Amino acid sequence: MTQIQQNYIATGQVVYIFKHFPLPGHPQAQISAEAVECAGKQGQFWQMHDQVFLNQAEWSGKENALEVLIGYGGKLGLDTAAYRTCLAEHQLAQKVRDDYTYGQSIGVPATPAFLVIGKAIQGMTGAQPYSAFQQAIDNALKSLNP
Amino acid sequence: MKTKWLALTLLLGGVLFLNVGCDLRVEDTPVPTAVVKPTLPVVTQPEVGPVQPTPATTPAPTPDLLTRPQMTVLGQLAPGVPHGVTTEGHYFKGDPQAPVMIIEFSDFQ
Repeated sequence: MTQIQQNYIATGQVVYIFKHFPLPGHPQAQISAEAVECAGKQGQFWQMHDQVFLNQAEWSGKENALEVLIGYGGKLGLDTAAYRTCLAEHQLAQKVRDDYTYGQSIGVPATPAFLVIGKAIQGMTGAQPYSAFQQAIDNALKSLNP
Repeated sequence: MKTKWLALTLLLGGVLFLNVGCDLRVEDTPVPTAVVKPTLPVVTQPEVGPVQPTPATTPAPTPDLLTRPQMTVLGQLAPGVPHGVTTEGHYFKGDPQAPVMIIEFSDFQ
């Protein structure tokens, strides 16, 4: 992701959109997605995205996952009371579920899944090396400027 | 003597004829019969009409993925990396005018 950001996002060639796809087999996928959305409500979506993703071992499969996720809010300087309430009341749970439903409707098979959209759409599923993204993005750029 | 036998025979024949006639009339009289109700259950066929369109139970049509959503920039994540939110509430990073758009579907677990 770092290389994509450096070489394509920061250079204005790619805009990157995130949608949730909490797999049913991942019991804490929903609450962790809500944690990121609740941070987004306070303008810290991408910061919490990185925090939750990079520190998966701290909360995934743990009984105190919710407290760990709430703790991330404090680390990022969020209004922790509002953040805790957002999570406890599942204020953005439906938004996450709507993303999942949308993903299903277009045939997303697994996570992560990527759609590289230029003149056409190229789909990629599963963890991919940077070279795969590079090829897909370059193909999309060429299709737009042959 | 023969005339008497002939008259007697004719008389007997007439009586027999009348008897037969009476019998026929009795047979002609309608005999009341019990009304037998059907014992099989009555099966009614459903009315078959034109097929009606069913209510939409499938997800709403997905928007055209090739159509770029409207994006509002909220700030900068890093130099040259704006971030913001689409009108549908999805977070993005990068220039909303960038030629290529990547959509990631993912979870964190």
